[in-house]
Amino acid sequence: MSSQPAFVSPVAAPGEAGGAGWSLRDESAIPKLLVYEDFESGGLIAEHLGVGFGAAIRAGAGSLVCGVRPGEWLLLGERSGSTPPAVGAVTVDLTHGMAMFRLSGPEAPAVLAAVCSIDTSEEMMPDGAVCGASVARVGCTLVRNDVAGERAYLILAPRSSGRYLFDAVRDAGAR
Amino acid sequence: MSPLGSGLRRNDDRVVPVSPGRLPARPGEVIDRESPLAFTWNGRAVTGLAGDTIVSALAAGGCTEFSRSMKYHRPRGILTADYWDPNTLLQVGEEPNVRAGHRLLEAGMAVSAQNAWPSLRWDAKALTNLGGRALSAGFYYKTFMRPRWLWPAYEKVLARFAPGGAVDPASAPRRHEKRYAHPDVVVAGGGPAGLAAAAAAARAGARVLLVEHEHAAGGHLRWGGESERALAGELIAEARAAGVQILTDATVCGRWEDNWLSITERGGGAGPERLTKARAKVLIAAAGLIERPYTFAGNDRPGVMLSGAARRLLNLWAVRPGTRAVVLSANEAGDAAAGDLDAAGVEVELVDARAGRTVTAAAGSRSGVERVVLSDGTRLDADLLVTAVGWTAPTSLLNMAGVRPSYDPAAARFFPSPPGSPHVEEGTVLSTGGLAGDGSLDELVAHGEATGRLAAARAAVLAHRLQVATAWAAPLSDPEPPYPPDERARLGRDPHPELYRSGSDGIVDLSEDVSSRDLHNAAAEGFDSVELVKRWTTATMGSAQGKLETVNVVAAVAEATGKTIAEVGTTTWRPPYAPVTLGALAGRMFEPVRVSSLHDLHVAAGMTPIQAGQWIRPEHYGHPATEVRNVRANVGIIDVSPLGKLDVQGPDATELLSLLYVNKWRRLAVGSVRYGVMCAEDGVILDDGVTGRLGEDHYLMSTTSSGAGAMEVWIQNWLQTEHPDWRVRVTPVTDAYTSINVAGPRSRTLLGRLVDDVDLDPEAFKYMQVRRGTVAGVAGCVMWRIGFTGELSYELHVPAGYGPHVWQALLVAGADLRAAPFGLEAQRIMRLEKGHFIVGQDTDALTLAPTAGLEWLIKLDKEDFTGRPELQWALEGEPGAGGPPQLPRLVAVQPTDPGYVPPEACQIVAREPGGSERIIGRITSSRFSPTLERSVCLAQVEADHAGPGTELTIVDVTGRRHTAAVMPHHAHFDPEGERLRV
Repeated sequence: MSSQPAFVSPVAAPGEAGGAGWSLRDESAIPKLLVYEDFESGGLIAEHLGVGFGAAIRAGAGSLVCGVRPGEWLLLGERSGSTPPAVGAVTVDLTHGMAMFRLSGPEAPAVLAAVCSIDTSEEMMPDGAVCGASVARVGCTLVRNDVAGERAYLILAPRSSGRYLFDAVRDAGAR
Repeated sequence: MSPLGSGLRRNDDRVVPVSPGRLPARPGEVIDRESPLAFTWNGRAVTGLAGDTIVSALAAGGCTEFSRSMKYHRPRGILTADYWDPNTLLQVGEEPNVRAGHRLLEAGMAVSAQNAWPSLRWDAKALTNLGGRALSAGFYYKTFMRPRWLWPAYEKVLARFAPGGAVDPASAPRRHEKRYAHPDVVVAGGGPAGLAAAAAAARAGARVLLVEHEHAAGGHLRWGGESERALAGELIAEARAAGVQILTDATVCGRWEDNWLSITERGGGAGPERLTKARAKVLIAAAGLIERPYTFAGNDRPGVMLSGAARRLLNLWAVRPGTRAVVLSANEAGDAAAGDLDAAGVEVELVDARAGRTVTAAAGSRSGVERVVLSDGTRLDADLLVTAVGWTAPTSLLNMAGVRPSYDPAAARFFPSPPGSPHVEEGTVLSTGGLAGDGSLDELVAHGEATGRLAAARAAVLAHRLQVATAWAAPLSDPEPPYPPDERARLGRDPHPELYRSGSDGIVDLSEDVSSRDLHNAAAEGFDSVELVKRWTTATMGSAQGKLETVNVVAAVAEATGKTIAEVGTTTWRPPYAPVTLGALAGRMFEPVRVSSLHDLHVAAGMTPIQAGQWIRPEHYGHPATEVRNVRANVGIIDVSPLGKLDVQGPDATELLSLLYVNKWRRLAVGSVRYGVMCAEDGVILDDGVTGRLGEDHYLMSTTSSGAGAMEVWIQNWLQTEHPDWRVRVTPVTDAYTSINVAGPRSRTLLGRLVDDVDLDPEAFKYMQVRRGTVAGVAGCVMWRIGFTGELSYELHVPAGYGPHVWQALLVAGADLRAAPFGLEAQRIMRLEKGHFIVGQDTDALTLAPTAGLEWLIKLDKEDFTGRPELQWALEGEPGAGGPPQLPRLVAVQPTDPGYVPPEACQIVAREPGGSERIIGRITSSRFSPTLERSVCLAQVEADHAGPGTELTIVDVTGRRHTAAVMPHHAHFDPEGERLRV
């Protein structure tokens, strides 16, 4: 049998778009692991991951640990630096189940404001904030993830909605 | 004689004026004299200037008649020269009802009058004016009630008299944008107080959005004197320097709970009108005051205008509105208008209402005012009558916050509420400027600044609370600041004479052509409440929406009923404050659709798509019957990715399944799958699907495609509200897998070419078992040996990013096996041949599990489960009084004519002893089976008619009867399931 084939993105090629002050890039291929708090550990996993609901921290090798709900984390990127304790942790690989886009640039908040009602002010959604939100009527997870001081958001959605969502955000930016 | 001098012919459709009314350059004018703009008015070429509104450009050209009134088709001219002008709604190109007193002129505009046929000058519909007395309020209600059968004819005639412009059905659709905003403070109104409030709030650290209705901030200062214009400039500069975001040509149209504000920007952003949904912490209403017309005979004649209109025309657009003016003044605004007119060379006669003089009539021809009659009988020749008789406080936004306006007779206007109202001034909705009271400019600015500071301080408290309460917000260590009390100095109330109507009858509502006589008649007919009068006469329900006429209507009702204005009260002002296009309300349409990872391959294969819920799926690839035959004879593959899939893990996972399903799960071996049915508490079927046990505490559950979302909620509801103690995690993984069903007698052969780490031998991988392995090089696939089609089949759940690879590999590897894709329609045919029901199509809200033929599945000898009491009653209860109801049953039906396929939802009837027919059921699914060469159906029929062999009568949509018989079991094809188990 052949080796593992190439990952097919939910977004039509080229998976990139942009305009004055904003860019949108498909990052769906990045590994995503959902981790639940252990049934018995009483907070050990939370302690290990070092972040609670509503916040994200960088965990080395470009990976990100996001507290997506109380007792639930989404590990994005290489997992080596943030793998939870093996005993008792329930994990589900959602790499293939979620589309992920990066919306970045100084105009990113304005683009987002056309499709999402979340308050993206510095106070309410600082770098590292994680929240659930409706984006163009698709239930998403939003992560503020600035890079080198540039404003950026990760938008995570069910994979099957990814193509529609990418188009909706791109269209909002183009307008 | 023309109102604009002897050198100009009177305005009409035939004359092409050349700006004879334009004055020499004036300080403060907003026009660019170096930028002429050509446009057309009723088909004739006209020229205006950049900065003109449509109305100011036409007025500069000598036009005084702009439209015909709604009901009586009376000639109408400029009244307010702004957004609220009821007389200058015009057609611009394909856009009807354009507020031409506000809309800026653009080159190439094709402007035409409305409410006139065949022309503005010769309007045949003006004949209605002759029957004016007969066309009193309620005329339509009274006249066209009877005979009822004539209504279609009435409707056609009345439709021809419908006011307004024309909508072109062929016009290109326009996209309306929307956006969200979260300002700390929104200031509605950019006059002196609003600007001062906005700047003060911003200086205090608030994010401030100022929304100004006009094309520029400044309010009435813009058309004032030099010092006023200078003050406007200073205030705007201060606001900008403080960081205030100023939206012009925009309106706060509505205020809802927690200061959720709808703001429309006309022409702002991209598109014709943009809706901003703003969640403001504090709203400052600073809408100013709207000048009120005066009611007297001929008050709607062209040449009668408000003082604000005269000053705007003179000072903003350098347009002289007349040559000989009578100014009826009861306040400083009227005096200022008289001064401005005099300075512009207009001959002015000031009638001081404060001294008891007033106007009783404006006489003239259809083209305008020629004489003004005063209350003392004096007659004055004039081509312009300017009135300044008082103000209306547009308290709408405050009313939307729960405030009822109260009337102050000394000030002759309504105020938002008594000072200190707990609903507004003590909360997060504040008012300033004319809405709050009167004062000098310094006092108004000071009040605005104090209001801005108070708003910012209160917004800071709310922001603090919100930030602390939001898990993802930046952490705060500071204590919450104290909630600031309202310590603003109150504005005063200037005395003003109560001037609403002279002794004569006039038009009160110029939008709807409602006269003072109409209002008196309505009161005489028993409509003594202003709300009833409003609905009976339609007063305040026209294009001005009460902005100009509400108080005059109230005054007329008070006069007619012998009450005071305060006793009558006002009508209710609801959103929107200003008209909003339906497009803006709808906004940009977000209609999410979902596609599987195989979508592009389906398109390339020529699929005919069908939308199922949000999913776009292949209905077929050309010929469903051919697809069926290929599956029955060879092998087919179908994309079943939308099937709901839930990952269930934890020590209590089996407990959860046992609770949810009617059948047993404890003895399901690892590596096996089982079909299950979920019922609600009342025993009605909710969903069904197959669940595989992947490990001791690990299951992969499937649901129907349409029920995926609801079932996740259903399960989470049980876990979170009834069993939070259970150690189980349920994760939706529908999108994580591309699901492919490989079906047909050659499916094992095909799969064997792509799988080498799973033994596919029928003894090693039996029907209703699950394996995990590698397919076409893709590891981590889940394989179920199940089938909805009735054939040997395998359902592959492949990591979605590799789904296209596996799909293509199956087609390539199976080319010699005649492997081909099949769509939903072929699957539906085959499942019907097999008698498998679809939840929601073959079942309904009365379908209990036993009535769908699932008695065998329900295990009453296990622990409690959802729906058990009802199911036990249905299965074991004694029929009869108090016993279980005899609900319809799901049966397979075979029409006598094998070629007849009854449409789904056809009724099934039975003949009663008396000879009449009674509905006893319906066809729920039907298709023509290419396998059996006959029709196959499922139906719901009453239990007494559900026995095998029972003859049924099907009634189709044309009323024709067709006989059919109940089959012995649901499956029409391979009832023993031998093809599945090979």
